[in-house]
Amino acid sequence: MQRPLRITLLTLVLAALIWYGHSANPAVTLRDCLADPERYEGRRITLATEVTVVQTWPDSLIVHQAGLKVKVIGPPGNVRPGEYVSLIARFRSPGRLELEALHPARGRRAKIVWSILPLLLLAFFWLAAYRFDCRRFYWEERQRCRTS
Amino acid sequence: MPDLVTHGFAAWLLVRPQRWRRVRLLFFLGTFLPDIISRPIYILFPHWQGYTVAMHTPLFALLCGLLAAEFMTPDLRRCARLAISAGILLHFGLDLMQSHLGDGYYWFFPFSWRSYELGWFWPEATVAWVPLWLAIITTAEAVLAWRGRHSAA
Repeated sequence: MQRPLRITLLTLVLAALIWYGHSANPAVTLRDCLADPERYEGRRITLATEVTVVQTWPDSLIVHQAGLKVKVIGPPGNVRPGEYVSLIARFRSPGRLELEALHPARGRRAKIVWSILPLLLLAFFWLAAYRFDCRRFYWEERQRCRTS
Repeated sequence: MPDLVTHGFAAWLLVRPQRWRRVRLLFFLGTFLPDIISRPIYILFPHWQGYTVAMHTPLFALLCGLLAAEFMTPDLRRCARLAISAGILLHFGLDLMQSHLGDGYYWFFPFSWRSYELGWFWPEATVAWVPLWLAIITTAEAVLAWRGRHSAA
């Protein structure tokens, strides 16, 4: 198969998978619940992606996810405002959650910061080892360039 | 996911031997690829998280690896496909060991929405080991460089 055809085919399949992953995902999100509270009354949901604590009280907390804030009824434990958490809760209309399980994701910020280092190192060594041939549109080994 | 230093350390243990020299960077690229293509999107734009569900799955990452290999020089392309794919499998091997609240990763996407994980550690737990991984890599690389200079002399 020709290279342009392979690139086009792979790109189309990847785009289709992204679309399918978005449209067919059975997981119910906080946004779904808040958009149609009656429909999702009592539904068990997981908030795990980029959820931060806004405020805490002894018996409840407010969390933030993707521009949405929601009150969660249940003991926050020792989590503090600004920390990342993941939680499982039951949705209660019109816009509350009843906490079932909470995991403080301490170290998530450090994890994100540390993860930049290997990427910088990879970029550095990659650019030292390969150069991009703009005419043929591929990376070739620098050593090979000098000897060929 | 464990942090990328931990992923990188695991990759370094496997491909540090000299015989892997030519494919080393490609293997590292594969090891980081599942996170490179998915994490920045939902960390910077949390509203788009739904679109990243597919990206951190084995099939998507492997196809993405094959696409990346198309941008390597023809004599390296076959090697690149294998090295990037092997790196991706190592990445998911480590991810499989994690624990999450609720669903973990969708290993058989797009054929199944079931997830499974071994639950040995939380995703952030590996951060505590990062200084140790870095110390081991730095020391070993320094020793290897020193030995290389001495044997050359």
